[in-house]
Amino acid sequence: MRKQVYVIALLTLILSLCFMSASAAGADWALRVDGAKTPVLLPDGGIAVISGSKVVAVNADGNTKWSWDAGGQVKFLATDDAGNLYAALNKTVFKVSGAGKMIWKTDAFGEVYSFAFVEGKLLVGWANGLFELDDKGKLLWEYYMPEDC
Amino acid sequence: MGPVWSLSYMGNGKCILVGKVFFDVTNPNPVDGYDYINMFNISDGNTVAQFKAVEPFTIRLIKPVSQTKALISADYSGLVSWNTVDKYLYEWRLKVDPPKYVCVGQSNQALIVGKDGKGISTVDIKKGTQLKQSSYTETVLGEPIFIGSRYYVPVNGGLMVLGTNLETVSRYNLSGLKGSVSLLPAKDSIYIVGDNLLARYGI
Repeated sequence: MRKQVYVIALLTLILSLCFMSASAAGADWALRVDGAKTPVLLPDGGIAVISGSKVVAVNADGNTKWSWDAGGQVKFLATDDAGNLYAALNKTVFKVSGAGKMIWKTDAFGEVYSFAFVEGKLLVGWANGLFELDDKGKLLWEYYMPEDC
Repeated sequence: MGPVWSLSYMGNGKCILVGKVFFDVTNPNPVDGYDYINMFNISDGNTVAQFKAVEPFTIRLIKPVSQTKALISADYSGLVSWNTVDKYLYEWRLKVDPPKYVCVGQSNQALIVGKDGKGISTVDIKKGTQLKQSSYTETVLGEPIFIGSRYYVPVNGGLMVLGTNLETVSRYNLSGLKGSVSLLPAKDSIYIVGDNLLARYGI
């Protein structure tokens, strides 16, 4: 049994290396990251992306730092100056540390439609308006569409 | 009332949102709604300006140019420059199909990618006039970025590097690059994110 695991691990490693060398023609490096989207730049020069239900952080040299699983398809991703990450899926907002550990999660009012971290605060556009959280997940204000729109 | 689906930070504590309003609140189908544009203060969420000059409102994208100016791609209007102050006025309007991507360059210039994803042109964003036009056989896969004096444009299998006169300067090959692509500028490099692919290219 243990031998089979070693063989499978070795084959996976060989296939990954083949893919990297094929894709990296001209690039510094290239990685296969399933469904990669919504890149954000990390303070150390690395990058984080959404990959399905996961957030994957990669160093500037192309080595994967960590992967964090949100338990559902992540739709939005943002980062702050300290390298913490903010992710949203469905009706939930998460804060994840620069080491890939969840710090907090909070329910949004409804489905999240837009997302931005600016000047130390998290702006979340949802099904009926907009709200703002501080970096601890505390609600600062809510906005609804003005009447004269 | 409908979703706030776009947030664009302008700097100086101001942000522009695009939200959708439904004609029939019992049938919140996005195709039956229209968009509205507000600029708000991020400290309290209060609206500081609204833009109502682009009607009917079907907004494709918003691209901040400065703290007081944004380019808006909208159906029927094309590309519009808003000074973020006048509610019913725009600085200029370029009557084109609403651009799919807009990338602000230097010296009051922006690169726009047409609705079909193939036609590329540059625009004087002070006057609202087209400067150069070019049509490529390759479809642009994501929003171009501007670094130094070059536009980096993602296409199938790599990046086209264009000068400010839309001349092809070089091409970066990246086999396997396809689908929807995002570019992210970093120190001396560009991160490229496509379907199932993450790569870094030194520039």
